[in-house]
Amino acid sequence: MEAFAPFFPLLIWVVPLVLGFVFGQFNEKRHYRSIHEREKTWLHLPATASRYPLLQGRIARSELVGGSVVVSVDYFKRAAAGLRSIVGGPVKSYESLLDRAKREAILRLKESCPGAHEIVNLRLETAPLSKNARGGIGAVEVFAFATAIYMVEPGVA
Amino acid sequence: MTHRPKFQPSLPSRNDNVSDEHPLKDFLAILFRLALLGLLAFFLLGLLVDAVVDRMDASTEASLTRLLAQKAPEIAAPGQGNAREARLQALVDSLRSCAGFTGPATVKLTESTVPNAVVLPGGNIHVFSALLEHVQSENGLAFVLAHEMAHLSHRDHLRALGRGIVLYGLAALLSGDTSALASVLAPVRQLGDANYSRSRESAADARALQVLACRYGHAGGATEFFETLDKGEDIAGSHYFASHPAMRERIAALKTAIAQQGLQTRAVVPLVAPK
Repeated sequence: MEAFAPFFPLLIWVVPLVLGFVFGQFNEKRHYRSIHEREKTWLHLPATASRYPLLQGRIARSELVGGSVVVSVDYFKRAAAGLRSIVGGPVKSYESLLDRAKREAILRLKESCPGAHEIVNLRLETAPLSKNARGGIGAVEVFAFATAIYMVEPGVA
Repeated sequence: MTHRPKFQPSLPSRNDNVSDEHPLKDFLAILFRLALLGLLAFFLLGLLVDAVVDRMDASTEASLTRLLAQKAPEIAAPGQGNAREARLQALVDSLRSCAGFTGPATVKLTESTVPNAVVLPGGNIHVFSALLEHVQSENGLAFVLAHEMAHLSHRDHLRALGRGIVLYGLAALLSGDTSALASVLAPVRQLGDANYSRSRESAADARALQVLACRYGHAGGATEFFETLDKGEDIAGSHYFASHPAMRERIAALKTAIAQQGLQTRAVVPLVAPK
């Protein structure tokens, strides 16, 4: 046991890394399952970046809707990104994080207007929390905002 | 009216924005490459340190020694401690001509239960008090002190210092801060250095044997300290265990050297406790 004593500082680094990987991967898989399920549920509500609606007919009313999400990196993703920052290249560990955040924000936007017939003018904004501050939580906010359109007689395309 | 195809909502069949690769693959690939590069850099810069230390002239070494000379805290209580320290100092000074050592060598006695002695930059030899209980003769003590003096004259403390600087420099370069990564890398360094320092220890043993034979006219007592340690229980933390070759190997190596050089082993001078 004493022979391993010098390696204890190494554990301080490895244990959060393993915990971050296990919990991070578990959460990511669970989140993706939820995203896939809800995207199917909300498939009937088209959301585009276009200024004009796909649906034709008389518009009853329109309103500004939004959905925002804040996601944090786990220790493993941060370590992987840290290694990436030394050699350069695509930060694969952050790609799935931001993909989830963007899709979750759009889903929340759709869920905020269940009676709408179409979403137009969809925009996404991303804001890092605590920028590059040392020891700060590496979290990012993704905000989706759009115009929800309610038709007088829906279903006339 | 322009014709517009009917809108059919559907989900994309695949997502090209996210990598399908296992997240560990990327991480381990970079880690492995960086570790390989770091080890190579550490090895090459270590050779550079050796080259610089070997080529260093005496005046540069002396000024480095002055620069690094540190005032050791006065741990030993006045009286017996100081008398023991003075005895050790006198023994070191008596070995100087045989060791061909002209630089400063200050002995400091530190209270400790670990039988060990270390050299620190600045010509300091730190003797841990438990060492005195593990030698029975003046010859045995002289061998250990000659071993430490050999480290000084081989400039092993400067090599260790240089390698330390290289390690911290690499850690700082890779991580951006020295505190965390360097402490994590310390055991790695111990492993990587074990082979290197084993050869340095053997060289110091060989030199100490010559000094002992020169001072007393025979090689008696050379293996005394190691034999006492070999009989005793394992004591972790002493560098005579960590990086020094296994006790029996060292004893065997010394005995072979004594036989090869045709050295005699005669009665040793018993160690008299100072009043």
